[in-house]
Amino acid sequence: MRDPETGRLDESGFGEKEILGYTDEWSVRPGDELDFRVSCKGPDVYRAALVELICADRIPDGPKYREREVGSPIDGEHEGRVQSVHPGSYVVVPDADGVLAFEKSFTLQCLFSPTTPARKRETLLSRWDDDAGAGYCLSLDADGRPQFRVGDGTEVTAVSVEQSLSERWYAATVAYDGERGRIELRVATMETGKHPGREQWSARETTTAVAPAGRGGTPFYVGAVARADADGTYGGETFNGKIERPRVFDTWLSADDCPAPTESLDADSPSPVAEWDFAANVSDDGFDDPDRVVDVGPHGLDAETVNQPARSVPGHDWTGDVHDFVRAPDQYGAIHFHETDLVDAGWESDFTLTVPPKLDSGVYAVRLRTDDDEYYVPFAVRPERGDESDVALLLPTNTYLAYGNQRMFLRGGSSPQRTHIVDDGYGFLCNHREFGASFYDTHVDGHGVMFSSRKRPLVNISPKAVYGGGPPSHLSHLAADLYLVDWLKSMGFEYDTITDEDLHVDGEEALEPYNLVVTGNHAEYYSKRQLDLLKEYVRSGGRMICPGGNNFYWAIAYHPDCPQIIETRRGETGTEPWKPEPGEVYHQFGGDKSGLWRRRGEPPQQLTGVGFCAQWEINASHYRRTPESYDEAVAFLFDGVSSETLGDDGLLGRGAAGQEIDRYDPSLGSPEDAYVLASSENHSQYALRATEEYRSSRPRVDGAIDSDVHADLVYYRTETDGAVLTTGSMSWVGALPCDDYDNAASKLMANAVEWFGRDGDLPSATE
Amino acid sequence: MKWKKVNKRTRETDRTKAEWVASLLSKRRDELVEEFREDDEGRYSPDLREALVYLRSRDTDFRYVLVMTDPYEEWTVGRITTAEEEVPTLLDDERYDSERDAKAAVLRLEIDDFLNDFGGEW
Repeated sequence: MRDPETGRLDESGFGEKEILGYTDEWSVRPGDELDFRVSCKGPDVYRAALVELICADRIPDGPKYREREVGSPIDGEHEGRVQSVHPGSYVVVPDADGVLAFEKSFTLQCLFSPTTPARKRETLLSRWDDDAGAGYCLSLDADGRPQFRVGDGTEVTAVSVEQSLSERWYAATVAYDGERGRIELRVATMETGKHPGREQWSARETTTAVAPAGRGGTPFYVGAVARADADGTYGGETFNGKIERPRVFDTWLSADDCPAPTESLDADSPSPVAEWDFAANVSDDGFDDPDRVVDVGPHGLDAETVNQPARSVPGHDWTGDVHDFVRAPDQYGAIHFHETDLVDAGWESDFTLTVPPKLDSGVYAVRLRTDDDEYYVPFAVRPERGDESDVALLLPTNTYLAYGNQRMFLRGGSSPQRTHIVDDGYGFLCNHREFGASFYDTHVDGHGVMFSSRKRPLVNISPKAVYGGGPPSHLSHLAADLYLVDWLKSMGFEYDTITDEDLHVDGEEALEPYNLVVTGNHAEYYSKRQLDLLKEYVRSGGRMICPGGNNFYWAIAYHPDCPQIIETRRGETGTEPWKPEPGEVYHQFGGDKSGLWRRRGEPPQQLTGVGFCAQWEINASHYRRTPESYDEAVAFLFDGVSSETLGDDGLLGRGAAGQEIDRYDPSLGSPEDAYVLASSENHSQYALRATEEYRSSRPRVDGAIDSDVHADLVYYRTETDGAVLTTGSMSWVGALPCDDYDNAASKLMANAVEWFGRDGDLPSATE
Repeated sequence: MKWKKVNKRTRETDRTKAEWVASLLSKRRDELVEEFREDDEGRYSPDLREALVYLRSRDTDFRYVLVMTDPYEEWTVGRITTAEEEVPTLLDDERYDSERDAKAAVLRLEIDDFLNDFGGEW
């Protein structure tokens, strides 16, 4: 927690926050209504205020932190309440008619591959009211042993198989005979390509007088049991690992009569009352509905996934021959669940903001304050339709989502020269893993985090977040992009603010009003649709300035029905915090391949003229002009620039070329007629080549001796008078405010915005 | 039993490197910490470079971090662990009025931890 007035840390409260929140949209227009969902722990009331965010820099001799209180009807005190969050993914079968509420005999089957056995109790299949101890439940107990429980709310009978589990495939069957009071639990290790060897069975039998009972309406779960709190029923005791082909029979099936769990059922088999095929709704575009699970049994008990478990992951019989699940859905019949999955906190709305009419387009937030803490819920306001400026700032909200609630450096992945600076929000995230993680993190079982959602508090997407960026400000993401906002305002440019998500939802309409689109400090993650739109925009005469570094690097996919959620699978190469498991490189959202755009044949060089080449340059360097920067055709960009170098100082590394940097490379698609206006120099041994830049282990990959470790400032035009200017550095935006915005980097940017934003042709050598 | 031989050889390699770093840091700890404190650009001497790479690539279950107690005016040292059960902590009452002093304090802690570990059973 931090004192909201002074910013001073409440040292006794490090790792905690009193107030958190999120909103439904990241981009709105005047007149739109926007719900805010808030949890306030401790105080009875909190204060809200609508503020415009202008500059996040709080260093003593910097451009100064600035936000403007707008004034709105939601400003003022609100009653506080605690809202809970329940991480963990699972499948829920509503079963409103109680088809699976057996009073007598039944048999359950599934295949499973646990990834954290013996860590805590984890559930496979259940119709179990955990608060009452009633129903039935097939699970792994706290010692990792397969266990079946049956309870009537008064008494529970449990039977466990004494088998030590590891991370491999197993088949489980449990049969309950209500008439004779028998339970038989059978578990087999399975022979798979990864784990050859014969199947080994373990079985336990017991007797019981207990019959499953429970409150009416308890759902059937795959990967959870039913729990309840004041907000309603949710899934608890969730599973880490894969489950495949769960099915239920409404009769006792002895070992002799029961089909093996791996066996497909036919006309001679016993008929199940439900059998969920996790890959049944796969088409050429991936899952028809990635949240729906199809019951191929007679009752059509279709189910819903909760908290976005990973689908399009190999099942027990994956051969390794096919890596695209669309081509072989039968080999992708598993779902990988994680106890740390979270895509929807599910909080109730606390108040609704009607965006004031005539509010200028820009970056805003609702600031939430208690006496001892504060929290910002940021969003963008677009202009009213038909009232657009010539210039748009495209906030890289995909990147914000990708890094949302990041905790990466706990596992390494950093420069040895860096001493990490963290804020109270980071401490909170380390202490509260229930709020979900980022694309840079792994789940508790080591599996990479493939989904990120903004339907939850994103603690580090804040103007007050301090972590990750270069010195002296150490800002990153939204806070770093506010350097651009401040600079555009300070230089007197009129512009609108739009987001990546606007591009996804509105398509070309989002770009059509603008002569110029300025991207953010780190526009790293884009979907195929978004990349195509930007390419077409430039091809058809639009102009772009990319003032950041490492842009258009990773492919992502949007949830088809819920654009608040995005997906990555990483790739087989790339500078990445985790690698996908074999066979997991195709997005379940849409079915396209994940990974680097470079590996999909669309390197960022094709659009921006440069592409990511090196990182970890915490202490940034400067650019030196090239001879071709003196060509008459580009003189308009250097109007007022008298120095040979640009970006000698900066607030993100004390220079303009640092952190992640990009190089011009015609072999990867940089336009051959582009101008390389300036290149950075004098990089350090800590600036290391991106791993995809070389084919095998090799020396000479650092900036002190590898001349390919540098940033290029590139300009090119298209035949339709479109144009692109790219700086190739994440530190660039931090150089803009230096010397009261009067420096060579700022002047060059201002010339570009001035000319690119105008109607009419750009200057050329012949004019 | 082949893996045991490989493991033993690896441990010997590790020990050789660790002995070199331990010897360096035992003799020159304060001097290297001061160099680290003074240099904002990371143009370190070979010895400091080697020591930083070694210390900060060690497999530890926690990291020292800087925490701003007063934004950009006052810093302290915190410890963040990978253990789920352990909450992040601020280490002690020491406060620093410059980022340089605070980052030097972190390096000093990292060196002392390593030398303590090295002095124990290898």
